[in-house]
Amino acid sequence: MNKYIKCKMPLIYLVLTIGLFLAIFPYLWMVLSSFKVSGEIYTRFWPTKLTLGNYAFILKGGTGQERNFTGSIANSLIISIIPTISVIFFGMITAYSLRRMKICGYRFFENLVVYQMLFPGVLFLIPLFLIMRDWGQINKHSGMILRYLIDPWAIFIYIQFFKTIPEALLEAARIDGASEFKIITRIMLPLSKTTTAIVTLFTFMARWSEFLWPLIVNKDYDKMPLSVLLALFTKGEYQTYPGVQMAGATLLTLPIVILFLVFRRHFEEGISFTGLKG
Amino acid sequence: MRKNLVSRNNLISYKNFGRKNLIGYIFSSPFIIFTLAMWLYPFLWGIVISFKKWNLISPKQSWVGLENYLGVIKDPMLWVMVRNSIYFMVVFITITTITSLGLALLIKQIPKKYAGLYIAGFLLSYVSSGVAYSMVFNLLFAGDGLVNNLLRIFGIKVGWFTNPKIAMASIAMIVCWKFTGYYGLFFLAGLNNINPTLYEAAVIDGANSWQRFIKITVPLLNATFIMIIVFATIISFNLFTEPYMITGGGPMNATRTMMLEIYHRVFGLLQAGYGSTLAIVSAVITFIFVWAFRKLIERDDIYE
Amino acid sequence: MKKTLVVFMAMALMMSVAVISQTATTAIEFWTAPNPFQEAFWSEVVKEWNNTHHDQQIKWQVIPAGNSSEEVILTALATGTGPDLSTNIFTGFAAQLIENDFLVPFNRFDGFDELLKARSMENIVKNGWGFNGNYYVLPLYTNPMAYWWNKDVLDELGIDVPKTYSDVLNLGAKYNNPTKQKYTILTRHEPNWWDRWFDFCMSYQANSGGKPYWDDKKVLFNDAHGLKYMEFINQLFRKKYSPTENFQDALQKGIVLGSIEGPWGINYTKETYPEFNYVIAPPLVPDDYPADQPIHTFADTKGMVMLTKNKQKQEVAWNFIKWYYSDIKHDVKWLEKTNMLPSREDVLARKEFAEYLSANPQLAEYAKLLPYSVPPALNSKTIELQTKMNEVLWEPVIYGKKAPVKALNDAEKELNKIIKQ
Repeated sequence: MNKYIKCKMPLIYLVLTIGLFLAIFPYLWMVLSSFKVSGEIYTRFWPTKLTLGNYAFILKGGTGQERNFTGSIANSLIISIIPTISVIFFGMITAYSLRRMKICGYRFFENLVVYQMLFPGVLFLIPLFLIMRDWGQINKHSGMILRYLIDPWAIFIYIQFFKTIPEALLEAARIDGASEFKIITRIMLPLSKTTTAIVTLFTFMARWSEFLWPLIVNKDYDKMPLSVLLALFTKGEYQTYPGVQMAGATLLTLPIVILFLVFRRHFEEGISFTGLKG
Repeated sequence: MRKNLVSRNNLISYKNFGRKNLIGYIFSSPFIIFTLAMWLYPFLWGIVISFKKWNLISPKQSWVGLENYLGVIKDPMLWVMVRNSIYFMVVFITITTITSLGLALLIKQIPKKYAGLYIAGFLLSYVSSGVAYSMVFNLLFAGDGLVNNLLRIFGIKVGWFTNPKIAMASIAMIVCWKFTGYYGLFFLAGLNNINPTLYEAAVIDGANSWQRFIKITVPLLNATFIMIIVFATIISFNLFTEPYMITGGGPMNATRTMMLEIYHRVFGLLQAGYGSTLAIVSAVITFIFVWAFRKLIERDDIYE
Repeated sequence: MKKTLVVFMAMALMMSVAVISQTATTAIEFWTAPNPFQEAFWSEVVKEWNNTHHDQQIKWQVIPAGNSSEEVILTALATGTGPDLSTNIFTGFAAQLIENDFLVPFNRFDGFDELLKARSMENIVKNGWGFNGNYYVLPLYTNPMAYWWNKDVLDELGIDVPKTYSDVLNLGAKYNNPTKQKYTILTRHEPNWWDRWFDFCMSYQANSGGKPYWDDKKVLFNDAHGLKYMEFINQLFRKKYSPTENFQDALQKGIVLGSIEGPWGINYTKETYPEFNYVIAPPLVPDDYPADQPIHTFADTKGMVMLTKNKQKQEVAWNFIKWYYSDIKHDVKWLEKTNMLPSREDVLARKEFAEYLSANPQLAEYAKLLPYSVPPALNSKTIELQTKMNEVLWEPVIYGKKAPVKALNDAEKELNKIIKQ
């Protein structure tokens, strides 16, 4: 038995390491290519010389034309951070009012939350686009943000978490004269660190990578998020600049990777009770 | 004293009943307004548009009854897209199950402190952005890209995104790459929930490791399987970024998805009514698939 | 309370800034083609205009297009955020915009006829850009399409530049070797509708002596000319003389020997592949094509349209158009910056262009094709037609699902259905 385990373990590590290599290889290749001169991207894996030219091209506009990539990073941050904060805030107060305050008809509203999660987004794409148009939200940050300010999924997982907090804790606070809002910020928020970390990570990730919606509701270069600007750049006129494309892809990947590494522990802890999020 | 406190406590709750409801409704009113404005209203409007013929621009919107629905059902493209989605599901579910379940089984064998590192590494692909990884894979799998250059050593050449027979499978593989670590985590959670005494009992009964895997592990991971299959169904119809960035729906419409077609109809040809109908039909088909899968595979009570 | 007040004031401040910035601009929105060289050109021209016309400002941007600029312009118009003035409009798309009442006819403005004469484009405009007696588009450039052949390899093989379909098939028999990544000719298989301009449409025009492949009533391509080309394509793909994988710059990298290219590729090739040596030749024709006849080719030609209904903006736009089109300096600069040929009848005659053309022999080859260049056949449903053409004619033949005869018959039937809708 002992001998069996002895030769089994190295094998497991070997398979896992090969798998891990395959999993991060595209990243590795992307980052390496972003520092290569264009002749070496297709032909060599390890570059013979490194260049920052691709990044300079993308951030400054290499052949004379203006592409505001720096601005687009700011746009991406705007349309990612605002919904993230809003989703957490409204997710929390809604979940609290439904699950802990049990307002009249809370069961109905909880079902509504679940229904909203189940209905596929494709049903809403065209009418929401028309609504944004009628409200004059085209070519504006707000048009890209509005529909994402509240996320039923976040409400749902806050409800799941709030179920586990003992009522006595809240009663004690109420007797001390704490307002309901204070209970949320002083008791619920610190308790739900893991849940909030998960909501932050997933919401930020989804908004940062979002492609279809900003593609539809915004045609203004100055307000374009990085994902759309990069896609248009690649699909359209700059098909012939692979190094620059990879520099852009690296810039697009970096923030979410950093955020993930920061929240990694919560991610693995929280995954079991949060369910699936596309 | 104690009794007094309890009754006072009740009194507070009672007196505040109306106030509490008021505050509660203030808290949940943004959600209610949001539901009405961003969910119910567009939902109904989407249904209304599907009965109309409208080019988004002209003030003229004419009612056409079921014409759009008949058009969608009669269009051979619908069946092409359903076929593509099924193809995607088959490849995606098969490969992801093997890779992520395999990953979970292996991770479970190694000590916790290393497991965390491996999981984090595998999860990196999950956080990547659709536009970015589509660009990366498009170059990696190009005709003279790295992968084909490697294969050429063995005299093989594959048109990953240009051969109509395998283009959709290539896209499914990219999505697998993205989700392996993530699903692996779910499988791992599922494995950790299995009571170890079940295995011990099975060992005593003389079951070998393969029998234990088939008889205990697989049935007890049922919920995880369901979740992954349902999810695969949903994304197979909603796939947009990858085919948009890489294949544009070609070759021979082999990677044309519902979402791509809706986008093309509405924003390329300005057929708002037809596009809305397509969206509704696609949602209905998704529901049918999800329902059928659950019916087929879902088990409620196993080894309780 | 204080906090709320501060937040409120900050919001009010932000809103007022937004309002002010909105009212300060009365400039017209001008969109140009998403092409790096054109972008560089317009950036300078617009700057020059804005510096000299302070009361008539132009806000310029590149059409934010990923797949096709037509799609983007349509969506923008549908949301009321479209441009007031735009380039990159081909005849079929103009017709589609006219049907939806988006365009303003130029012939209603003062000085229209003088402008046509001043830019020497009267015949071009009157013979190809009219719609029901009105003129909504002013052509900017005309790019004839041509074949490029890898000169070094052809010389090595001792073979002349192919002229007919048989020449290519013979070359393929001698040279082609897919396992070594050696292909004879690149025929595009991308599903984009516009790609069909540069293969089927171009070859039909070449075979038929410049006839249109459809008009606004019906499909015209299902005849001997169309069939000869599709049989050739069928042969190419059955014999694997054309690659079906995606390669970037397949011609320049030596993966294929020949490819259809526009003049916009010249500068890029010069910069990226300075060693690459090529010959420019007119389109391939069937073996029985009369040798004494000139060979026609397809011309990618785009123009400028006005979309604003606002009288003040129309005036600014018209002033800009007059300023731009009447000065030959702009066309010379255009030629130098973009390497594309301006839509003028005097490109070969004027000495202003001659200097540049003699210094750029490749472009001069293209200029020689100008008299035999045919613009796209006019139909307001061009995009839908070419999308369908791709689906029922092009891809089935390329992937060997249909015989050319059947594919052409199917295509005629399906495309006529769309035209008649």
